[in-house]
Amino acid sequence: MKQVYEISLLYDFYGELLTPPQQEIIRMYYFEDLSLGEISEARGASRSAAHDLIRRSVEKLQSYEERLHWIQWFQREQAGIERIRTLVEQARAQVDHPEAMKIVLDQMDQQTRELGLPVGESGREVPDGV
Amino acid sequence: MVKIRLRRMGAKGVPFYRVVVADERSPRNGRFIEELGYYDPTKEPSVVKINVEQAKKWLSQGAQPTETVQKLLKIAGVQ
Repeated sequence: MKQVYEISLLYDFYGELLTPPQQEIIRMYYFEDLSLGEISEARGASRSAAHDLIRRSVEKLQSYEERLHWIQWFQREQAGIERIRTLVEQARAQVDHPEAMKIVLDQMDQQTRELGLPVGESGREVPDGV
Repeated sequence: MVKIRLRRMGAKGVPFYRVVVADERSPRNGRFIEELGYYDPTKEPSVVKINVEQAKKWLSQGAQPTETVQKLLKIAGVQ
């Protein structure tokens, strides 16, 4: 089940980098839940050809995430935004307590700073000439 | 033949999946006979909500669940 979710995310972020037949087969297999038999019939090709195309398309999507980390970045940002929302609620509850409010605001400040940091191989040197 | 399939919905980056009963002959036109529930993997833990009575009714009438749906039905306590 988790795989369907993972492929959906990969497709959302990198699907447009696939060829039209690769996009189509990912949608058929993972979004419409068609079987290999149904896909091969619709495409007029063999089951093993459909299976190979799915496998290669998924590998291509995975290779983009390994290099670009957009999903990792997106999920970290979503989690950060959720934490900030919680802190906003806490701040509302502290309107009459300036000291407590200041602590919450500092935490919020920290969270917003962390949102901007790069994901993955951070700290790598910029190549010469850039 | 009638099939019970998953169908992806939701926005970019936040997918969720409907469990639908659909005619096998028209799997790709988006039409379905009935919605049996949904699977939301964005929640922690994932949420699986299935109308167990309706699912049993369709299964008893010969509807074929896909492999993925079979797993969800098992989680929901249908099979």
